[in-house]
Amino acid sequence: MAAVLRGQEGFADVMSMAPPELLGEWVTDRVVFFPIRHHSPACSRHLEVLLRHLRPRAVLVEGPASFTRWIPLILHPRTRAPFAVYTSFEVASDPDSHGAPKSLSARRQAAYYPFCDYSPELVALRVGSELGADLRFIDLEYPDQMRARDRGSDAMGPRIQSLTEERYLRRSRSLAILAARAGCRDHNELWDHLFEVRLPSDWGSVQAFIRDVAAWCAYGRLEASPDLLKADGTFAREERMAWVISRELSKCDGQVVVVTGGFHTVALPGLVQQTQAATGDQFEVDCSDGDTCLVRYGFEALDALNGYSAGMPSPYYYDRLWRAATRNPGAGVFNSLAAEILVELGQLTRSGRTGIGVSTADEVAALEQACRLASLRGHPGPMREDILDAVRSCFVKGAMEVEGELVLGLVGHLLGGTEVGEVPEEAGAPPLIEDFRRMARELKLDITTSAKRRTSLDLYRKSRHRQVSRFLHSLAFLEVPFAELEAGPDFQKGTGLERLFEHWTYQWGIRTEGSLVEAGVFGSTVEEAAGNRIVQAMALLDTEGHGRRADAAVALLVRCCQMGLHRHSRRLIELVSLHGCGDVSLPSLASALTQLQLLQDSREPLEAHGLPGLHSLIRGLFERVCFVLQHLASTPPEDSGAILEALLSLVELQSSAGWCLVELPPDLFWDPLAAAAGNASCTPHLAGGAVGLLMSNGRMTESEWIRHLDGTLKAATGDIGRSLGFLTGLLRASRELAWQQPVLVQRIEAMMEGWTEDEFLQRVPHLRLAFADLTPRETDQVAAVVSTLHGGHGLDLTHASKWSEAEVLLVLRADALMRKTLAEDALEDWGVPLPVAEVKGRSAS
Amino acid sequence: MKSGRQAKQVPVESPRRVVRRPAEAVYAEELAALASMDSRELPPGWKLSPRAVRHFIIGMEEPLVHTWEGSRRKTLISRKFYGDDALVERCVVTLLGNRGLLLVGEPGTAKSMLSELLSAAISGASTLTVQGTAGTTDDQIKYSWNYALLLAEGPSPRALVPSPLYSGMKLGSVVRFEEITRCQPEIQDTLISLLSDKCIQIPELSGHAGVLFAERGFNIVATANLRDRGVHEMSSALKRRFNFETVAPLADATLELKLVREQTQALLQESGVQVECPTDVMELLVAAFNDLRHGRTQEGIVVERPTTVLSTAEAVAVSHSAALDAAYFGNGHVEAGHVARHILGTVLKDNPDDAKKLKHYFEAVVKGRSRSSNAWQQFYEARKALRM
Repeated sequence: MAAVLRGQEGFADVMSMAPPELLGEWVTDRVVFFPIRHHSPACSRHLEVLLRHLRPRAVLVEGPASFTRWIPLILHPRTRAPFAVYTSFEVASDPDSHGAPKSLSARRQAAYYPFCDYSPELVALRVGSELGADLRFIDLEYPDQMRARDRGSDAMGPRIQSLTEERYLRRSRSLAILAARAGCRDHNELWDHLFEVRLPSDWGSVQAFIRDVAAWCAYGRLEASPDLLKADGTFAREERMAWVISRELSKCDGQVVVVTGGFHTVALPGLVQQTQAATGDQFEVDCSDGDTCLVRYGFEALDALNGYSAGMPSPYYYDRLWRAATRNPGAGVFNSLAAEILVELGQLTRSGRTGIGVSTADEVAALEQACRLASLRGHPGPMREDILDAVRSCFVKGAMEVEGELVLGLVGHLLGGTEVGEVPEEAGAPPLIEDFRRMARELKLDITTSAKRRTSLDLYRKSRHRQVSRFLHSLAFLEVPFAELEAGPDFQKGTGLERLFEHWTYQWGIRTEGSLVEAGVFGSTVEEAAGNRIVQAMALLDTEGHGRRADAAVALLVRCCQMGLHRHSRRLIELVSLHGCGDVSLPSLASALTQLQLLQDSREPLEAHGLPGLHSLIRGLFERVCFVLQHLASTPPEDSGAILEALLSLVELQSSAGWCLVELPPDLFWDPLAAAAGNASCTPHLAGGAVGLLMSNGRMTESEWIRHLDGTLKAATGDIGRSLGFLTGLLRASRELAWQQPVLVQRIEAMMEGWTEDEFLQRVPHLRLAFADLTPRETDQVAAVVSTLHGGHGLDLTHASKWSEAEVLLVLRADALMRKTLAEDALEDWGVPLPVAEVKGRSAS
Repeated sequence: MKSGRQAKQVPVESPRRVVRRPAEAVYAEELAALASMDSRELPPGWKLSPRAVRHFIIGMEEPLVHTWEGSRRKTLISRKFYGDDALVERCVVTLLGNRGLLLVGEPGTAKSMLSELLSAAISGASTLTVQGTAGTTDDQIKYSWNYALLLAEGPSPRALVPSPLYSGMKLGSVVRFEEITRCQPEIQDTLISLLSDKCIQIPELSGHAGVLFAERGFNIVATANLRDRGVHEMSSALKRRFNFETVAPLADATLELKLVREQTQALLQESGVQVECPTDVMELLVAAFNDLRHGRTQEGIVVERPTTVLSTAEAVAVSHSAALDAAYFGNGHVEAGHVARHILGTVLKDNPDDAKKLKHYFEAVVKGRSRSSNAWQQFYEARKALRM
């Protein structure tokens, strides 16, 4: 058979262009350049065999040089993979944006360097340390890597990235062609087909393995243009690595093993030869200006299928494979692992309410299928894709896009895994993370896996639940991606207050600890950080132009109580009263007072009724309201609507149950209102509103208000807009006047008598607006008043006109046209008068 | 693409007179080449090794040298199934095992062709086929009797009329069951015991003749439509005895173009017609099918999808008819006008609304493209002849 029969072809056939001379440079008696693919068990196994055979003096690993300090902790017996080195640094701010408010997220850049048990880097460190070799990371520091990149080359990139990216291999067209030729779907399957199948290894196979990985990477690098490599900082990093390697070679006389991503290994031997002659210490400084720590990491984040760009999919599968191969280095490892996984999957489908029932017979058939596929494809046993194909064949009973989605989702989840590693206490997690873990333990929140969990908190009856709620609110305020409030009362907006429970979902993810590290700048405990953050937020109010807004400040105070930071409340209350004292906006003050009243009235969830200073704060803000009211008459017309609403909510607030606590003379509030109502320069809308409020609260006598009404409706200015504005404001503040006081309807009618037909048509929309708040029942009441005024007996709805509305309108129009024509011919007297006023009255109400 | 569905074994000796020859006859040379080079151990009852079967279906890059009809020659194994290679591997492996293979998917996705190729390669015969319809009965699946002989001699193996399934069991061959979901559920369920016990009980016959045990190499390749008018549910018991494989429509337009060209050429060769199919016309055809199938054009314009299934098989049918039209009524040169004439019959089946959708497509998309391309302009102009 020709070469391309899948499985029969050796590596050389698929990669017939592999440059054979590479190997001579890569493996010498001074130095071995070992190319790896990140998170590949086969690379790890071969690397281990090589290290044990050569017993090198030094092992140099790709990774920022300052990570060398962390090696003892990486190798600590209590460190359990997956874990990651997390590093972040503060980006120097642009000179032009100086002074602009900086948000927390924009000023730091951060990256992870994840390790699994089967990561070649970790195996190199572990075996190297066992053999007593010098261990060292050799790459450029992370901040320098970022600076080496062209500005703007990844301005849109993720904020937290991975330091073990393999973007070129992923995008390589050459590898895609190779995959197609070998009958593989993508480069991942091709990698398994060519390399992972060689997991059981010995010294005899190592050289061939290095050669083949070298060829793989050489292909992967074929399309990367020098411009691209320069722009993304690859050249700078490789230069630095080559420099460290040649320095190491000149320092020690034993053998050196260099472990880097194969993509770099392609370039490194040549660079090292060039650099050997050169001296200099441009890279001597071995410290970083970034913050680095060891954090727990999860398989979920590591799964390439979830968007992680460094290497292989399905980390749980490869972890299992690595463990199985460590226990039993024979070729049977693939078969037994496939059996275990298929049985686990079968049990998983049976245990949950997935709707898929996979029987034991299906499991047997799937295992058989997987083994036969493996033998068809020339694998020593079922690899990852063989198992997946067996699942596709035997577990999916129906169409792939319907039933198949469910099964494949399940198997993807199983092979991805949810395990999370552990780092020892000595790793000196930043105190904020320590506190987070302690609190989570105390509050019985599960952060041992990265699975999504749900919790319902009884805010009113259980104090522990309140604590959990406060903890979760604090984390949300710190922008730590951990918990999400799905439903519950919203004390800030004052909605959903009848709810007794809060429903949260939470999920520990690697970004949780990363964000906690970043939030560490605010304090060493969650409570302290949240407290400082809130003070900072308060300070930010000034810079963002909300400095004199009481409502924004009070919103923060409510938030503070939600987070249980009552300790910090005294400072906040001081700040709020400071902000409130300068506030000139009535809507803002009204909203602040409403929120404060809510705080005062609320019971267990906020525990704010006993807050020291709250009472006097309310009093202070109310005094401020009364002061601002003095200037009510000078309100510009465009604000009058919002101000009237604020006035309404203030009046409502004063009639609420808890309000008597403010022992202020009521006149303080009402007198300025009365003054405004009588002030001719006050906008008519507000004046009407003020009259309405005064009238309905018994602060104005009937004769007084009729005087105001007459004064406005019969104004001599001819400014009809003023009358209509007054009416609108009046009815907004107290619409019951429309049917309780027939005099109002009378006055309106009298006003309309003087209007011409055209004027009436122009003004009727404004009149309608004034009556718009009335309910249908209230409209009927007003209509009854109108009817009574014209000698009727209330509203008699049983009387139906024999004319429809359209017909009446038609007649009216014809009549108007007729009158106009008669007028033009000077024959007005011929016209028969029509009861127009009645029609007008009805359409207005 | 879609094969004719023979219920009985067809004599293939006189290729000239047969409308459509089965795969084992069309590809006899390729099968012989693969068999001569196949050094691997064959599974019991198989004519080729699993790898060779795979290569028969998805093709090879280099020709094989072998002796064919007395002379040495190079034979290139052509690619016959485009798209999902892993699917082919799974199908081959399924047929090695105990379970039957059930190919599901939309109409016109080459399910029947794949089943024909698999049975031709594995058993050397693709004509042992049961065609499932609402009228399929139990005895069409198992066996029936020659009643004259039955009356004359009583029940005997001589009087028994075997079904394709019966013959497949006896010969150890792969049997095709087309459109299995069109059979009534109780008829489908006849297969349950046949597939699990791999034998047929013949209670009328006594002794050893009363049970037919399947020879090794026997298996079933069924095809089914899961969502179409007139299909029935399958029982879970029967589902368990099949491995399901979903054959998806071709996602890649370039591949589809290649496939349409190849298949049209093959059909024209069979018809003995010489006609030229210019690339731009074929591209137009595939593009129009893709637009209408996905409801969105390359330019991102949303078009209404007709209710008819617009598979690659339909595209081949249109291109074949257009070519014949050009050969017999034209100047032997396929133009966009020919395509337009024949696309109508494909798109407009039973839903009058589809005519409106097609008209809208012509106005919204074809008109725009006609300004920059000659073929599209012809295509647009041809709509008048269709009274659209």
